[in-house]
Amino acid sequence: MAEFIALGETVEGAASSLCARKWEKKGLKIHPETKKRMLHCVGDRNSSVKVTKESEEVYDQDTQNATSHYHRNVGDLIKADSVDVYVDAKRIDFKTKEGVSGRHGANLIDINKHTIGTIRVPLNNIMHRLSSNLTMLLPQESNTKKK
Amino acid sequence: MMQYDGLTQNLNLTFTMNNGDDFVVANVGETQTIFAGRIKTETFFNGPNNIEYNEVVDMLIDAVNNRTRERNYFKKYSELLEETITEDEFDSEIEKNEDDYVVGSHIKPTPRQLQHALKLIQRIKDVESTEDLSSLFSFNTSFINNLALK
Repeated sequence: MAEFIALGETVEGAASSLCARKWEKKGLKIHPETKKRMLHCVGDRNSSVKVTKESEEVYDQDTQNATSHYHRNVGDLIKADSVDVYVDAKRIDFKTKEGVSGRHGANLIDINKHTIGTIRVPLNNIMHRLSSNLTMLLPQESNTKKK
Repeated sequence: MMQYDGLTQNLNLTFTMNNGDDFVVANVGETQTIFAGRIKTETFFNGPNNIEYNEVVDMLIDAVNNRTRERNYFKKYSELLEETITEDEFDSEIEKNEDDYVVGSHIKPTPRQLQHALKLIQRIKDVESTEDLSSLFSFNTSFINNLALK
């Protein structure tokens, strides 16, 4: 049971508790690491995702390696300004938990489905680093092409 | 100073492009550009056949198709909310035509593709995070996050 606040930190659970000022559905997407078709949602402002039930997913070796950095213990929590949440569902009704709505405008939602939550990586913050890392990679790519 | 067609223009930049079979030399002025060069006849009649150009076009087509997939999903979802279709019909439509509704994340972009993407998103709406970038071009988010956060 721990709290994570760094960009890109991810939690996974068979059930989760989500909190944010506002939840926005983005549509169905193949999750990049588990390759499952899931509903992608984004939590905006004071967002958090807490694992309330341990994940029961069984993955092949490649997926296990790709997801080895996930936090899966009950109580593991990510907290950030904005989070990406993938829910194993085609559609979902966000019903605000009673008594919570109105307190700082927060929306607390319990999801009883396989959920993967990741702290969103804003492009504005990392554009410079991304560009400079790319510049380092580009000459290598052109050398490879010449060979 | 150079004179042509009765117009006088200050020339301030000489541009040369040598891309294998194609060669162009140009004098780029403030308002007009004079150029000469050599190009394959096929390219001259059928449009540019440049790898980078084709790569960017493919990426833009992927982006349009992915936005269409999102739109299709929400169109179907609004039909469900309006009770025009049932929950079972909604589910079965998505199962049957997954490619029309689900955005992929299968592309591990090359550094060149990622560089194109970073330029393109400056002119595309609602791309604020690495996840938005991935959803637009079907890129694998983990790959981009690894590159951005290392």
